[in-house]
Amino acid sequence: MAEKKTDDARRRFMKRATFGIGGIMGAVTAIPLVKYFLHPVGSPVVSTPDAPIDIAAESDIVAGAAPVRLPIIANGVRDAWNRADNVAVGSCWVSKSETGEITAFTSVCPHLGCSVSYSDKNEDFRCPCHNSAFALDGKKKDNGPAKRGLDPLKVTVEEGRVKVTYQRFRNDISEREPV
Amino acid sequence: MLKPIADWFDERTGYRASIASALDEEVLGGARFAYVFGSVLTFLLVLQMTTGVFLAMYYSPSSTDAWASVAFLNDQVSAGWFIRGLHSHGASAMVIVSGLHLFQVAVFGAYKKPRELNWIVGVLMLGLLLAFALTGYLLPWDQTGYWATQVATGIAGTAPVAGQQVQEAMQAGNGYGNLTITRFFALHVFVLPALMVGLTVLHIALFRKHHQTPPWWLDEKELKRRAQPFWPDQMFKDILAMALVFAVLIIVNFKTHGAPLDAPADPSTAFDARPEWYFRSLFQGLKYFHGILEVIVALGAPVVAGGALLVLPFVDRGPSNNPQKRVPYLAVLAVGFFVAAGLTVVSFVEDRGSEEFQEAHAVAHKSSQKARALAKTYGVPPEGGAAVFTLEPGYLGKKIFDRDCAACHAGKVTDRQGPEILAGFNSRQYISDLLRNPSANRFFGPTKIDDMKPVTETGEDFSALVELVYAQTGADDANADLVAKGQALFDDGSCSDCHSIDWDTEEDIGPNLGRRGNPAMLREFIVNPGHLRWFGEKNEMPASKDKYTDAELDELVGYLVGLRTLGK
Repeated sequence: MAEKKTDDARRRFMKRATFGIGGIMGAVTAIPLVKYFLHPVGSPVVSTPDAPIDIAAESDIVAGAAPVRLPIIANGVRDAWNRADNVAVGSCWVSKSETGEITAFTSVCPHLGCSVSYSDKNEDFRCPCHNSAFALDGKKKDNGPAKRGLDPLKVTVEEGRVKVTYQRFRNDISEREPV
Repeated sequence: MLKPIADWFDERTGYRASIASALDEEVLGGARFAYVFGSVLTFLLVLQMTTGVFLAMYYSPSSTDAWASVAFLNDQVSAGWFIRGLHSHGASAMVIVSGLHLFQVAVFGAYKKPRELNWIVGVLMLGLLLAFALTGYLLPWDQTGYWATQVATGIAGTAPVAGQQVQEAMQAGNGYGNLTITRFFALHVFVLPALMVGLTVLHIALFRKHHQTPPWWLDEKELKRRAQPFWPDQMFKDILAMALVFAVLIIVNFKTHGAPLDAPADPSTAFDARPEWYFRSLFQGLKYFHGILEVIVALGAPVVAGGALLVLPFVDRGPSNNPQKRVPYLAVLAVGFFVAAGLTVVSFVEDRGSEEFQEAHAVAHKSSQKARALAKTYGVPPEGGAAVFTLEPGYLGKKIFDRDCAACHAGKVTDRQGPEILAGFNSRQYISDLLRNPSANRFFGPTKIDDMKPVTETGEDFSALVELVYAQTGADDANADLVAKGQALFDDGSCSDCHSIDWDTEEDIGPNLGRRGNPAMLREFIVNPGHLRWFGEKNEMPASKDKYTDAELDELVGYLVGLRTLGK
């Protein structure tokens, strides 16, 4: 009877120890795995250099004409392990006012990120996904779910070349917050 | 609180009874450490599968991306080196523990009737394990994996009748490339794991049917009397063994900082590849056989070893499990083991004693460090891992230098026609040597320029003159006080009889030393070395006006400037 009792105590200890040791081994493996899994969260794994990117000759953009979609082709684009040149990272709608001022809007819809088109018929920007509409100055029109207007990109003109500073913004919020 | 939830699930699944029946097994003769190896292997297999799945989250199986993605996950992703190290060292642990498992099973006679099939399943699993190792070794697409695996597929290519077809099927085509890597990847992460899991289930099911092979020295009555339940008695010993193996694994992982990663695979280089340690015996064995014998040994040795293991239970059919009554069979296993172990040791000893190997190893290590540092700083170009070297500052400049300048400036004394331009060019040491002996073979000896007398100042005076010339390069570590002193000596002494040191003086007996070695000066000099500011009509170097684009000149000058601090 006494032997049975000590056996029970011994087995109780072994069961607990087995769970304890197993738990420690699990944790030692799980903690780095979680860190590893979450590594890309909040880290700029895909990035484009901050420097302005050449998109066109200033003279090629006609004053007062309808906006044109120009690709933004960047060098030194990082994508996790890669570094590549001549990568199309996005596009923008560019127009020149009668006074010669050039504006550029990223074609990424501020709603959920579809690519915005220009509608000749309505003379405004339309998102093909959820029908958000934006005026030529980028302001949000009444129809559609977008919470803000189109996101302007900073334009500089140097030696007759038009350059934009490429940026992405957070979707579906009314403020403009760079990602 | 949890009990009602657990009850709910139990009513619907009956999981309690399943677990109970899984754990409820009587261990005849009592729990033993001799029985832990199977459990440890199961644990290691789960660890390999877990770490493997996580590695796949950052791995890209293509010949252009594989190395870059592994370098990224190893050197940049949080805990990446740790996970990858666990996976790589875990494979080694599996090989070792499999060996111990096989040893225990052999000593206990556990392959005998009625367990022959389970022995065969185990031997097949050992084969799968080696297939895992072989396919996994290539995946990082680094130099070691690339070249070592070439040997393995090359051996397959020597097989009789359909050797070439076998080789092309293994490497997926006539050479190594994207298809090789996708094939090895698919085998490594889908096919082999599926087979391994299937065989593991079978192995455990057969084990549960026949149970442990009890110790041969206990009779039936004693076995019954000492019997203990698997849970927790044997499980406790199992988990202690798992914890020990895991602890060793973690310590080794920290000590080695994970698994090695060589420079990216580069078919244009020579590389002293070595297979994983558990293939070293085969690797070494091949050194002793040539011609047809090589083929026989390379393909035959694994077949003979595997075959001997597979037939063991059908050859040793005696009733006794006592090893003393099975000496011949165990002796065959022991001889096999010691031959393999001996060859492995000889292989490592040979490498340790070989100066060439050590040198090649050091070069490979340096190249790996460089490639990984570049990948971390700049990323890897889409052309592939080896293209990472083109991102090194001065890479293009060096290429231009090697093509256009090296013949006169970096060759042996006998073919050199101009001053030496190597690592340390325009460093203090270089300038000091030049001033001490301008007509040396290293400097103007091979040229028409022979009229400068060696500088004879000593001590700080000499250092000051060196510093003054050194400061012309624009180096930011020039000592201003020494430079000022050097300037005074320059003006008062004999230097200024022939040389100017202000940029604007265009004509003097000797070359203008102003901005000597400075990027702007080097640029102009390369374009027009015969300018009166420098060597005038004594110049023999061809002018390179219009030869280079601005960008090329920048690269070349960048390379020349970089030499100053190189090899310091």
